[in-house]
Amino acid sequence: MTNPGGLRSSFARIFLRSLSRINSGRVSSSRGRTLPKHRSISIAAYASMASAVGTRRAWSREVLRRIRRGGARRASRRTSEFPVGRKGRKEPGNGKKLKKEAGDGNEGSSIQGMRKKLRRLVPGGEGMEFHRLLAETAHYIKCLKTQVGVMRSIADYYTPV
Amino acid sequence: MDTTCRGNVGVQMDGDGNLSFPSSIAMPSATSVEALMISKASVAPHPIFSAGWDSLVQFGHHERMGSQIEPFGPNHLPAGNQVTRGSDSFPFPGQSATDPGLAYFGSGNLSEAVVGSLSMPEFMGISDSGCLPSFGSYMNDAGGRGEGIRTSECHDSDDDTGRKSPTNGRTRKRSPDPRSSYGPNEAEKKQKHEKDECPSVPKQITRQSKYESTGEEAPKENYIHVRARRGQATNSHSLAERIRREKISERMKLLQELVPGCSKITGKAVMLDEIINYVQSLQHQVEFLSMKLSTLVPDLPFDAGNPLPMDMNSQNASTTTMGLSNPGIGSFQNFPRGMSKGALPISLSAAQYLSLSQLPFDSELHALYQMGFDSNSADILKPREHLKPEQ
Repeated sequence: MTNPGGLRSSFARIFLRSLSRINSGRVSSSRGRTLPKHRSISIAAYASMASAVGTRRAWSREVLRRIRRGGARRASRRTSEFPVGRKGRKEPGNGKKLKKEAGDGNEGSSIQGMRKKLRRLVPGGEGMEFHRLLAETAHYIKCLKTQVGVMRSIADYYTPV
Repeated sequence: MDTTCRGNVGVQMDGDGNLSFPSSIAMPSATSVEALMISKASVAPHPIFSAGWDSLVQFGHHERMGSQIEPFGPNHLPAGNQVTRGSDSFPFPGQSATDPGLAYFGSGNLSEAVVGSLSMPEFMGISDSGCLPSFGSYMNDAGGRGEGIRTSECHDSDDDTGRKSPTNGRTRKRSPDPRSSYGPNEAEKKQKHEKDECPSVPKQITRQSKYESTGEEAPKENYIHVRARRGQATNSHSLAERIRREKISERMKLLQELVPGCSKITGKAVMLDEIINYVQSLQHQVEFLSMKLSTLVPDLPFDAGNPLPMDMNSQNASTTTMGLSNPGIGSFQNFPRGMSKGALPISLSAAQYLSLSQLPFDSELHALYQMGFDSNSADILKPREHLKPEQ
Protein backbone atom coordinates (compact mmCIF):
# COMPACT_ATOMS: atom_id res chain seq x y z
CA MET A 1 0.00 0.00 0.00
CA THR A 2 2.07 2.85 -1.23
CA ASN A 3 0.85 6.28 -0.43
CA PRO A 4 2.11 8.75 -2.96
CA GLY A 5 -0.05 11.58 -1.69
CA GLY A 6 0.08 11.39 1.98
CA LEU A 7 -1.25 13.60 4.62
CA ARG A 8 1.12 16.37 3.77
CA SER A 9 0.08 16.87 0.22
CA SER A 10 -3.59 16.39 0.95
CA PHE A 11 -3.37 19.05 3.56
CA ALA A 12 -1.31 21.30 1.33
CA ARG A 13 -3.73 21.00 -1.51
CA ILE A 14 -6.75 21.82 0.55
CA PHE A 15 -5.02 24.55 2.44
CA LEU A 16 -3.69 26.24 -0.64
CA ARG A 17 -7.08 26.28 -2.18
CA SER A 18 -8.57 27.75 0.90
CA LEU A 19 -5.84 30.34 1.01
CA SER A 20 -6.60 31.40 -2.49
CA ARG A 21 -10.24 31.62 -1.62
CA ILE A 22 -9.53 33.71 1.38
CA ASN A 23 -7.33 35.96 -0.59
CA SER A 24 -9.75 36.52 -3.32
CA GLY A 25 -12.19 37.52 -0.71
CA ARG A 26 -14.82 34.96 -1.32
CA VAL A 27 -14.98 33.63 2.18
CA SER A 28 -18.03 34.53 4.10
CA SER A 29 -18.23 33.86 7.73
CA SER A 30 -21.21 32.46 9.45
CA ARG A 31 -20.84 35.11 12.04
CA GLY A 32 -22.04 38.60 11.66
CA ARG A 33 -18.68 40.21 11.67
CA THR A 34 -15.84 39.44 9.38
CA LEU A 35 -12.94 37.61 10.74
CA PRO A 36 -9.53 39.13 10.64
CA LYS A 37 -7.53 37.55 7.97
CA HIS A 38 -5.03 35.78 10.14
CA ARG A 39 -7.84 34.26 12.10
CA SER A 40 -9.54 32.95 9.04
CA ILE A 41 -6.27 31.58 7.77
CA SER A 42 -5.67 29.85 11.03
CA ILE A 43 -9.11 28.33 10.97
CA ALA A 44 -8.59 27.36 7.38
CA ALA A 45 -5.44 25.58 8.41
CA TYR A 46 -7.17 23.51 11.04
CA ALA A 47 -10.09 22.85 8.82
CA SER A 48 -7.87 21.78 5.97
CA MET A 49 -6.01 19.45 8.22
CA ALA A 50 -9.19 17.98 9.57
CA SER A 51 -10.48 17.55 6.05
CA ALA A 52 -7.30 15.89 4.97
CA VAL A 53 -7.49 13.49 7.85
CA GLY A 54 -11.13 12.88 7.34
CA THR A 55 -13.44 11.62 9.97
CA ARG A 56 -11.66 8.62 11.20
CA ARG A 57 -10.00 10.37 14.04
CA ALA A 58 -11.91 11.72 16.96
CA TRP A 59 -10.08 14.98 16.96
CA SER A 60 -10.66 15.64 13.30
CA ARG A 61 -14.31 14.87 13.70
CA GLU A 62 -14.43 17.30 16.53
CA VAL A 63 -12.74 20.02 14.53
CA LEU A 64 -15.09 19.51 11.64
CA ARG A 65 -17.99 19.58 13.99
CA ARG A 66 -16.87 22.84 15.49
CA ILE A 67 -16.35 24.49 12.18
CA ARG A 68 -19.64 23.21 11.00
CA ARG A 69 -21.26 24.91 13.92
CA GLY A 70 -19.60 28.09 12.86
CA GLY A 71 -17.76 28.56 16.10
CA ALA A 72 -14.97 30.12 14.18
CA ARG A 73 -13.12 31.50 17.08
CA ARG A 74 -13.06 28.26 18.94
CA ALA A 75 -12.59 26.04 16.02
CA SER A 76 -8.92 25.95 16.39
CA ARG A 77 -8.59 24.86 19.93
CA ARG A 78 -11.04 24.78 22.65
CA THR A 79 -13.60 22.26 23.59
CA SER A 80 -15.30 24.21 26.25
CA GLU A 81 -18.00 25.54 23.99
CA PHE A 82 -19.47 22.25 23.20
CA PRO A 83 -21.29 19.98 25.53
CA VAL A 84 -19.05 17.36 26.90
CA GLY A 85 -19.92 13.87 26.03
CA ARG A 86 -22.25 14.95 23.35
CA LYS A 87 -22.29 11.57 21.78
CA GLY A 88 -22.88 9.79 25.01
CA ARG A 89 -19.33 8.78 25.52
CA LYS A 90 -18.22 6.98 28.56
CA GLU A 91 -17.30 9.22 31.42
CA PRO A 92 -13.63 10.03 31.63
CA GLY A 93 -13.86 9.92 35.38
CA ASN A 94 -13.74 6.20 35.18
CA GLY A 95 -10.35 6.19 33.67
CA LYS A 96 -9.06 8.84 35.97
CA LYS A 97 -10.09 6.95 39.02
CA LEU A 98 -8.18 3.91 38.05
CA LYS A 99 -5.18 5.91 37.11
CA LYS A 100 -4.63 7.38 40.50
CA GLU A 101 -1.89 4.98 41.22
CA ALA A 102 -0.09 4.99 44.47
CA GLY A 103 3.22 5.26 42.67
CA ASP A 104 2.44 8.77 41.58
CA GLY A 105 3.47 10.74 44.57
CA ASN A 106 3.44 13.72 42.34
CA GLU A 107 0.49 15.43 43.78
CA GLY A 108 2.03 18.81 43.34
CA SER A 109 2.19 18.70 39.60
CA SER A 110 -1.13 17.00 39.55
CA ILE A 111 -1.31 14.40 36.91
CA GLN A 112 -5.01 14.75 36.85
CA GLY A 113 -4.66 18.43 36.21
CA MET A 114 -2.38 17.70 33.34
CA ARG A 115 -4.76 15.20 31.94
CA LYS A 116 -7.50 17.75 32.01
CA LYS A 117 -5.27 20.17 30.28
CA LEU A 118 -4.44 17.71 27.59
CA ARG A 119 -8.07 16.94 27.11
CA ARG A 120 -8.73 20.56 26.57
CA LEU A 121 -5.89 20.93 24.16
CA VAL A 122 -6.70 18.09 21.92
CA PRO A 123 -10.03 18.63 20.22
CA GLY A 124 -12.55 16.05 21.16
CA GLY A 125 -10.50 14.91 24.04
CA GLU A 126 -13.15 15.43 26.63
CA GLY A 127 -15.16 12.34 26.24
CA MET A 128 -12.69 9.56 25.96
CA GLU A 129 -10.60 7.45 28.18
CA PHE A 130 -7.08 8.38 28.83
CA HIS A 131 -5.33 5.87 26.68
CA ARG A 132 -7.59 6.77 23.84
CA LEU A 133 -6.74 10.37 24.46
CA LEU A 134 -3.07 9.53 24.22
CA ALA A 135 -3.55 7.86 20.89
CA GLU A 136 -5.49 10.84 19.59
CA THR A 137 -2.83 13.14 20.92
CA ALA A 138 -0.16 11.24 19.07
CA HIS A 139 -2.00 11.50 15.81
CA TYR A 140 -2.84 15.11 16.48
CA ILE A 141 0.78 15.94 17.10
CA LYS A 142 1.79 14.25 13.92
CA CYS A 143 -0.77 16.20 11.95
CA LEU A 144 0.13 19.45 13.64
CA LYS A 145 3.72 18.90 12.69
CA THR A 146 2.85 18.44 9.05
CA GLN A 147 0.56 21.41 9.23
CA VAL A 148 3.26 23.64 10.64
CA GLY A 149 5.73 22.32 8.13
CA VAL A 150 3.51 23.03 5.16
CA MET A 151 2.55 26.46 6.40
CA ARG A 152 6.13 27.32 7.02
CA SER A 153 7.08 26.17 3.56
CA ILE A 154 4.36 28.29 2.06
CA ALA A 155 5.41 31.28 4.07
CA ASP A 156 9.01 30.78 3.13
CA TYR A 157 8.02 30.47 -0.43
CA TYR A 158 6.36 33.81 -0.37
CA THR A 159 8.96 35.69 1.54
CA PRO A 160 11.37 37.55 -0.61
CA VAL A 161 14.57 35.73 -1.08
CA MET B 1 -9.70 -1.97 -0.72
CA ASP B 2 -7.84 0.98 0.53
CA THR B 3 -6.94 2.15 -2.89
CA THR B 4 -10.37 1.65 -4.20
CA CYS B 5 -11.75 3.80 -1.52
CA ARG B 6 -9.44 6.59 -2.34
CA GLY B 7 -12.04 8.91 -3.51
CA ASN B 8 -14.26 8.31 -0.63
CA VAL B 9 -13.29 10.80 1.90
CA GLY B 10 -9.77 11.27 0.82
CA VAL B 11 -8.71 9.55 3.93
CA GLN B 12 -7.47 6.44 2.35
CA MET B 13 -4.56 8.36 1.12
CA ASP B 14 -3.91 9.17 4.60
CA GLY B 15 -4.33 5.64 5.70
CA ASP B 16 -0.83 4.76 4.85
CA GLY B 17 0.52 7.86 6.34
CA ASN B 18 -1.20 6.93 9.47
CA LEU B 19 -0.02 3.42 9.33
CA SER B 20 3.34 4.67 10.22
CA PHE B 21 1.88 5.61 13.51
CA PRO B 22 0.76 2.25 14.76
CA SER B 23 3.66 0.49 13.20
CA SER B 24 5.83 1.85 15.89
CA ILE B 25 3.87 -0.23 18.31
CA ALA B 26 5.74 -3.44 18.72
CA MET B 27 2.87 -5.62 17.83
CA PRO B 28 3.00 -8.11 15.05
CA SER B 29 -0.39 -7.63 13.58
CA ALA B 30 -0.91 -4.10 14.69
CA THR B 31 -0.55 -2.59 11.28
CA SER B 32 -3.14 -4.77 9.76
CA VAL B 33 -5.45 -4.11 12.63
CA GLU B 34 -4.97 -0.42 12.33
CA ALA B 35 -5.39 -0.56 8.60
CA LEU B 36 -8.61 -2.38 8.95
CA MET B 37 -9.81 -0.07 11.61
CA ILE B 38 -8.87 2.91 9.58
CA SER B 39 -10.51 1.70 6.47
CA LYS B 40 -13.59 0.78 8.35
CA ALA B 41 -13.84 3.94 10.27
CA SER B 42 -13.38 5.94 7.17
CA VAL B 43 -16.41 4.39 5.67
CA ALA B 44 -18.52 4.39 8.74
CA PRO B 45 -19.21 8.02 9.48
CA HIS B 46 -20.86 8.87 6.25
CA PRO B 47 -24.41 8.83 7.41
CA ILE B 48 -23.51 11.03 10.26
CA PHE B 49 -21.67 13.69 8.43
CA SER B 50 -23.41 13.63 5.17
CA ALA B 51 -26.61 14.75 6.70
CA GLY B 52 -27.10 18.40 6.37
CA TRP B 53 -23.68 19.31 5.17
CA ASP B 54 -25.02 21.02 2.13
CA SER B 55 -27.14 23.32 4.12
CA LEU B 56 -24.19 24.73 5.95
CA VAL B 57 -23.23 28.29 5.76
CA GLN B 58 -20.78 28.87 3.04
CA PHE B 59 -17.87 29.55 5.22
CA GLY B 60 -14.54 28.64 3.77
CA HIS B 61 -14.32 25.00 4.31
CA HIS B 62 -17.83 24.15 5.07
CA GLU B 63 -18.86 22.95 1.75
CA ARG B 64 -15.47 21.66 1.12
CA MET B 65 -15.53 19.45 4.09
CA GLY B 66 -19.09 18.52 3.80
CA SER B 67 -19.07 17.51 0.24
CA GLN B 68 -15.76 15.92 0.59
CA ILE B 69 -17.03 13.64 3.21
CA GLU B 70 -20.19 12.86 1.42
CA PRO B 71 -20.06 9.83 -0.73
CA PHE B 72 -19.97 10.61 -4.36
CA GLY B 73 -22.34 13.37 -4.99
CA PRO B 74 -23.73 13.75 -8.42
CA ASN B 75 -21.02 16.13 -9.41
CA HIS B 76 -17.98 14.07 -9.07
CA LEU B 77 -17.64 13.37 -12.72
CA PRO B 78 -17.77 16.99 -13.73
CA ALA B 79 -15.29 17.62 -10.97
CA GLY B 80 -12.83 15.46 -12.76
CA ASN B 81 -13.22 17.52 -15.87
CA GLN B 82 -12.92 20.65 -13.92
CA VAL B 83 -9.68 19.63 -12.42
CA THR B 84 -8.09 18.81 -15.68
CA ARG B 85 -9.23 22.08 -17.11
CA GLY B 86 -7.67 23.83 -14.22
CA SER B 87 -4.42 22.09 -14.73
CA ASP B 88 -4.30 23.24 -18.28
CA SER B 89 -4.51 26.77 -17.17
CA PHE B 90 -1.80 26.36 -14.64
CA PRO B 91 0.92 28.33 -16.43
CA PHE B 92 -1.25 31.37 -16.46
CA PRO B 93 -0.70 33.30 -13.30
CA GLY B 94 -2.98 36.14 -13.84
CA GLN B 95 -6.18 34.27 -13.68
CA SER B 96 -8.54 36.01 -11.46
CA ALA B 97 -11.57 34.89 -9.65
CA THR B 98 -13.27 34.49 -12.94
CA ASP B 99 -11.20 31.45 -13.52
CA PRO B 100 -13.67 28.71 -14.20
CA GLY B 101 -11.87 26.46 -11.82
CA LEU B 102 -12.25 28.88 -9.02
CA ALA B 103 -15.73 29.80 -9.91
CA TYR B 104 -16.56 26.20 -9.73
CA PHE B 105 -15.07 26.10 -6.30
CA GLY B 106 -17.04 29.03 -5.22
CA SER B 107 -20.25 27.45 -6.19
CA GLY B 108 -19.89 25.06 -3.35
CA ASN B 109 -18.54 22.12 -5.19
CA LEU B 110 -14.99 22.69 -4.26
CA SER B 111 -14.67 19.42 -2.56
CA GLU B 112 -15.70 17.57 -5.64
CA ALA B 113 -12.69 19.01 -7.32
CA VAL B 114 -10.66 18.06 -4.34
CA VAL B 115 -11.88 14.57 -4.48
CA GLY B 116 -11.38 14.49 -8.17
CA SER B 117 -7.86 15.62 -7.84
CA LEU B 118 -7.13 13.04 -5.27
CA SER B 119 -7.94 10.18 -7.51
CA MET B 120 -8.65 9.55 -11.09
CA PRO B 121 -12.22 9.72 -12.15
CA GLU B 122 -12.13 6.06 -12.85
CA PHE B 123 -11.07 5.47 -9.31
CA MET B 124 -14.15 7.11 -8.15
CA GLY B 125 -16.17 4.81 -10.26
CA ILE B 126 -14.42 1.85 -8.80
CA SER B 127 -14.68 3.04 -5.30
CA ASP B 128 -18.24 3.95 -5.81
CA SER B 129 -19.11 0.42 -6.55
CA GLY B 130 -16.66 -1.07 -4.19
CA CYS B 131 -17.10 0.90 -1.09
CA LEU B 132 -20.66 1.84 -0.88
CA PRO B 133 -22.40 -1.49 -1.01
CA SER B 134 -20.30 -2.94 1.73
CA PHE B 135 -20.64 0.24 3.64
CA GLY B 136 -24.37 0.24 3.29
CA SER B 137 -24.78 -3.29 4.40
CA TYR B 138 -22.40 -2.71 7.21
CA MET B 139 -24.44 0.11 8.56
CA ASN B 140 -27.55 -1.96 8.26
CA ASP B 141 -26.02 -4.64 10.34
CA ALA B 142 -24.93 -2.19 12.90
CA GLY B 143 -28.52 -1.22 13.25
CA GLY B 144 -27.84 2.40 12.66
CA ARG B 145 -27.10 2.94 16.23
CA GLY B 146 -26.91 6.45 17.41
CA GLU B 147 -23.35 6.32 18.43
CA GLY B 148 -22.22 6.10 14.89
CA ILE B 149 -18.63 5.28 14.68
CA ARG B 150 -18.27 4.20 18.23
CA THR B 151 -20.95 1.63 18.08
CA SER B 152 -20.13 0.50 14.65
CA GLU B 153 -16.69 -0.21 15.83
CA CYS B 154 -18.20 -2.16 18.64
CA HIS B 155 -20.15 -4.21 16.25
CA ASP B 156 -20.32 -7.75 17.32
CA SER B 157 -18.44 -10.39 15.61
CA ASP B 158 -21.12 -12.86 14.76
CA ASP B 159 -20.91 -11.70 11.21
CA ASP B 160 -17.40 -12.71 10.75
CA THR B 161 -18.06 -15.55 8.44
CA GLY B 162 -19.88 -13.37 6.03
CA ARG B 163 -17.99 -10.19 6.39
CA LYS B 164 -14.40 -10.63 5.61
CA SER B 165 -14.23 -7.24 3.99
CA PRO B 166 -11.78 -4.87 5.54
CA THR B 167 -14.49 -2.52 6.62
CA ASN B 168 -15.15 -4.83 9.47
CA GLY B 169 -11.61 -5.39 10.29
CA ARG B 170 -11.72 -4.71 13.91
CA THR B 171 -14.28 -7.25 14.88
CA ARG B 172 -12.94 -9.72 12.41
CA LYS B 173 -9.60 -9.62 13.96
CA ARG B 174 -10.72 -10.44 17.36
CA SER B 175 -12.44 -13.69 16.82
CA PRO B 176 -9.82 -15.68 14.96
CA ASP B 177 -6.99 -14.32 16.95
CA PRO B 178 -7.87 -15.45 20.40
CA ARG B 179 -7.98 -18.97 19.20
CA SER B 180 -4.76 -18.80 17.35
CA SER B 181 -2.65 -16.83 19.70
CA TYR B 182 -4.26 -17.08 23.01
CA GLY B 183 -1.14 -17.27 25.05
CA PRO B 184 1.26 -14.59 23.94
CA ASN B 185 1.18 -11.22 25.43
CA GLU B 186 1.02 -9.51 22.12
CA ALA B 187 -2.28 -11.00 21.25
CA GLU B 188 -3.48 -10.02 24.63
CA LYS B 189 -2.35 -6.50 24.18
CA LYS B 190 -3.83 -6.26 20.76
CA GLN B 191 -7.16 -7.38 21.98
CA LYS B 192 -7.07 -4.97 24.78
CA HIS B 193 -6.06 -2.31 22.34
CA GLU B 194 -9.03 -3.07 20.21
CA LYS B 195 -11.27 -3.36 23.11
CA ASP B 196 -10.57 0.01 24.45
CA GLU B 197 -11.53 1.66 21.27
CA CYS B 198 -15.03 0.78 22.29
CA PRO B 199 -15.76 2.60 25.44
CA SER B 200 -19.26 1.33 25.61
CA VAL B 201 -18.08 -2.07 26.70
CA PRO B 202 -18.65 -2.47 30.38
CA LYS B 203 -15.83 -3.67 32.42
CA GLN B 204 -17.70 -6.51 34.03
CA ILE B 205 -18.08 -8.43 30.88
CA THR B 206 -14.48 -8.02 30.04
CA ARG B 207 -13.42 -9.52 33.26
CA GLN B 208 -15.74 -12.43 32.96
CA SER B 209 -14.56 -13.12 29.51
CA LYS B 210 -11.19 -14.16 30.60
CA TYR B 211 -12.72 -17.20 32.13
CA GLU B 212 -14.65 -18.14 29.08
CA SER B 213 -13.60 -18.20 25.55
CA THR B 214 -16.99 -17.89 24.01
CA GLY B 215 -17.47 -14.22 24.32
CA GLU B 216 -17.79 -13.50 20.67
CA GLU B 217 -21.38 -14.34 20.23
CA ALA B 218 -22.77 -11.84 22.63
CA PRO B 219 -24.68 -9.17 20.81
CA LYS B 220 -23.20 -5.71 20.83
CA GLU B 221 -20.43 -6.66 23.23
CA ASN B 222 -16.76 -7.14 22.78
CA TYR B 223 -14.79 -9.56 24.76
CA ILE B 224 -11.16 -9.31 25.34
CA HIS B 225 -9.37 -12.40 26.26
CA VAL B 226 -6.81 -11.67 28.81
CA ARG B 227 -4.56 -14.10 30.39
CA ALA B 228 -3.10 -13.39 33.76
CA ARG B 229 0.60 -13.52 33.66
CA ARG B 230 2.63 -15.68 35.92
CA GLY B 231 3.14 -14.29 39.36
CA GLN B 232 0.54 -11.61 39.04
CA ALA B 233 -2.71 -11.18 40.78
CA THR B 234 -5.63 -12.65 39.00
CA ASN B 235 -8.14 -10.50 40.67
CA SER B 236 -10.36 -9.12 37.99
CA HIS B 237 -9.98 -5.59 39.17
CA SER B 238 -6.25 -5.62 39.18
CA LEU B 239 -6.20 -7.37 35.87
CA ALA B 240 -8.27 -4.73 34.24
CA GLU B 241 -6.18 -2.09 35.83
CA ARG B 242 -3.05 -3.74 34.60
CA ILE B 243 -4.43 -3.78 31.11
CA ARG B 244 -5.15 -0.10 31.28
CA ARG B 245 -1.79 0.70 32.64
CA GLU B 246 -0.11 -1.25 29.95
CA LYS B 247 -2.06 0.47 27.28
CA ILE B 248 -1.32 3.83 28.66
CA SER B 249 2.36 3.15 29.00
CA GLU B 250 2.41 1.83 25.47
CA ARG B 251 0.94 5.00 24.14
CA MET B 252 3.18 7.11 26.25
CA LYS B 253 6.11 5.39 24.63
CA LEU B 254 4.71 6.25 21.26
CA LEU B 255 4.30 9.82 22.27
CA GLN B 256 7.82 9.88 23.53
CA GLU B 257 9.00 9.18 20.07
CA LEU B 258 6.85 11.88 18.60
CA VAL B 259 7.74 14.63 20.96
CA PRO B 260 11.30 15.70 20.40
CA GLY B 261 13.65 15.53 23.29
CA CYS B 262 11.63 13.18 25.37
CA SER B 263 13.51 10.00 24.91
CA LYS B 264 15.23 10.25 28.23
CA ILE B 265 12.24 11.17 30.27
CA THR B 266 10.78 8.56 32.47
CA GLY B 267 7.65 9.11 34.39
CA LYS B 268 4.23 10.07 33.38
CA ALA B 269 4.09 13.48 34.96
CA VAL B 270 7.08 14.94 33.23
CA MET B 271 6.15 13.27 30.01
CA LEU B 272 2.63 14.62 30.13
CA ASP B 273 3.98 18.02 30.82
CA GLU B 274 6.26 17.85 27.85
CA ILE B 275 3.47 16.64 25.64
CA ILE B 276 1.22 19.45 26.71
CA ASN B 277 3.89 22.01 26.13
CA TYR B 278 4.65 20.61 22.75
CA VAL B 279 1.04 20.63 21.63
CA GLN B 280 0.68 24.18 22.84
CA SER B 281 3.79 25.27 21.06
CA LEU B 282 2.63 23.64 17.85
CA GLN B 283 -0.68 25.40 18.09
CA HIS B 284 1.07 28.68 18.70
CA GLN B 285 3.20 28.07 15.69
CA VAL B 286 0.12 27.55 13.60
CA GLU B 287 -1.30 30.82 14.80
CA PHE B 288 1.90 32.56 14.17
CA LEU B 289 2.36 31.17 10.72
CA SER B 290 -1.17 32.06 9.84
CA MET B 291 -0.47 35.61 10.83
CA LYS B 292 2.62 35.54 8.76
CA LEU B 293 0.76 34.16 5.82
CA SER B 294 -1.96 36.71 6.15
CA THR B 295 0.50 39.46 5.56
CA LEU B 296 2.65 37.74 3.07
CA VAL B 297 0.23 36.98 0.47
CA PRO B 298 -1.02 38.11 -2.34
CA ASP B 299 -2.08 34.69 -3.21
CA LEU B 300 -2.63 34.41 -6.81
CA PRO B 301 -5.34 32.00 -7.66
CA PHE B 302 -3.98 28.57 -7.35
CA ASP B 303 -4.48 25.96 -9.84
CA ALA B 304 -6.32 23.04 -8.43
CA GLY B 305 -4.53 20.35 -10.24
CA ASN B 306 -1.02 21.22 -9.42
CA PRO B 307 -0.39 23.09 -6.27
CA LEU B 308 3.00 24.01 -5.02
CA PRO B 309 5.23 21.03 -4.81
CA MET B 310 6.29 19.95 -1.42
CA ASP B 311 9.89 20.84 -1.72
CA MET B 312 9.05 24.41 -2.11
CA ASN B 313 12.22 25.66 -0.63
CA SER B 314 14.14 24.44 -3.55
CA GLN B 315 11.81 25.99 -6.02
CA ASN B 316 12.76 29.08 -7.77
CA ALA B 317 10.05 31.59 -7.44
CA SER B 318 10.27 32.71 -10.98
CA THR B 319 9.74 29.31 -12.38
CA THR B 320 6.29 28.94 -11.01
CA THR B 321 3.15 30.68 -11.84
CA MET B 322 2.94 32.66 -8.72
CA GLY B 323 4.66 35.59 -10.24
CA LEU B 324 6.20 36.64 -7.02
CA SER B 325 9.71 36.65 -8.13
CA ASN B 326 10.15 40.25 -7.26
CA PRO B 327 12.04 40.95 -4.13
CA GLY B 328 10.16 44.06 -3.47
CA ILE B 329 7.18 42.60 -1.81
CA GLY B 330 7.95 43.46 1.69
CA SER B 331 10.65 43.56 4.19
CA PHE B 332 9.13 40.70 5.97
CA GLN B 333 11.70 39.22 8.16
CA ASN B 334 12.46 35.69 7.45
CA PHE B 335 11.90 33.75 10.53
CA PRO B 336 14.37 31.43 12.10
CA ARG B 337 13.21 27.92 12.00
CA GLY B 338 12.33 26.49 15.28
CA MET B 339 10.05 27.50 17.95
CA SER B 340 11.19 30.98 18.71
CA LYS B 341 8.78 33.57 17.65
CA GLY B 342 11.01 36.56 17.65
CA ALA B 343 10.05 39.97 16.52
CA LEU B 344 8.01 40.53 13.51
CA PRO B 345 8.79 43.83 12.00
CA ILE B 346 6.71 44.75 9.10
CA SER B 347 7.93 47.85 7.58
CA LEU B 348 6.61 48.17 4.17
CA SER B 349 7.98 51.30 2.79
CA ALA B 350 6.19 53.29 0.22
CA ALA B 351 8.66 52.36 -2.42
CA GLN B 352 8.14 48.72 -1.87
CA TYR B 353 4.47 49.17 -1.80
CA LEU B 354 4.57 50.85 -5.14
CA SER B 355 6.55 48.05 -6.59
CA LEU B 356 3.66 45.79 -5.88
CA SER B 357 1.60 47.56 -8.39
CA GLN B 358 3.93 46.40 -11.05
CA LEU B 359 3.06 42.82 -10.43
CA PRO B 360 0.75 41.27 -12.91
CA PHE B 361 -2.20 41.39 -10.63
CA ASP B 362 -5.71 41.44 -11.49
CA SER B 363 -7.10 44.78 -10.58
CA GLU B 364 -9.48 43.24 -8.14
CA LEU B 365 -6.75 41.42 -6.34
CA HIS B 366 -4.63 44.45 -6.32
CA ALA B 367 -7.24 46.48 -4.58
CA LEU B 368 -7.80 43.72 -2.11
CA TYR B 369 -4.14 43.45 -1.47
CA GLN B 370 -3.83 47.11 -0.75
CA MET B 371 -6.65 47.02 1.70
CA GLY B 372 -5.39 43.86 3.23
CA PHE B 373 -1.95 45.20 3.72
CA ASP B 374 -3.06 48.26 5.56
CA SER B 375 -5.23 46.45 7.99
CA ASN B 376 -2.95 43.51 8.45
CA SER B 377 0.11 45.44 9.22
CA ALA B 378 -1.81 47.18 11.92
CA ASP B 379 -2.87 43.84 13.26
CA ILE B 380 0.58 42.45 13.27
CA LEU B 381 2.08 45.32 15.11
CA LYS B 382 -0.17 44.80 18.04
CA PRO B 383 1.39 43.18 21.05
CA ARG B 384 1.60 39.50 21.18
CA GLU B 385 -1.84 38.82 22.42
CA HIS B 386 -2.71 36.98 19.29
CA LEU B 387 -0.12 34.44 20.06
CA LYS B 388 -1.44 33.65 23.43
CA PRO B 389 -3.97 30.93 23.55
CA GLU B 390 -7.42 32.24 23.52
CA GLN B 391 -8.71 30.95 26.74
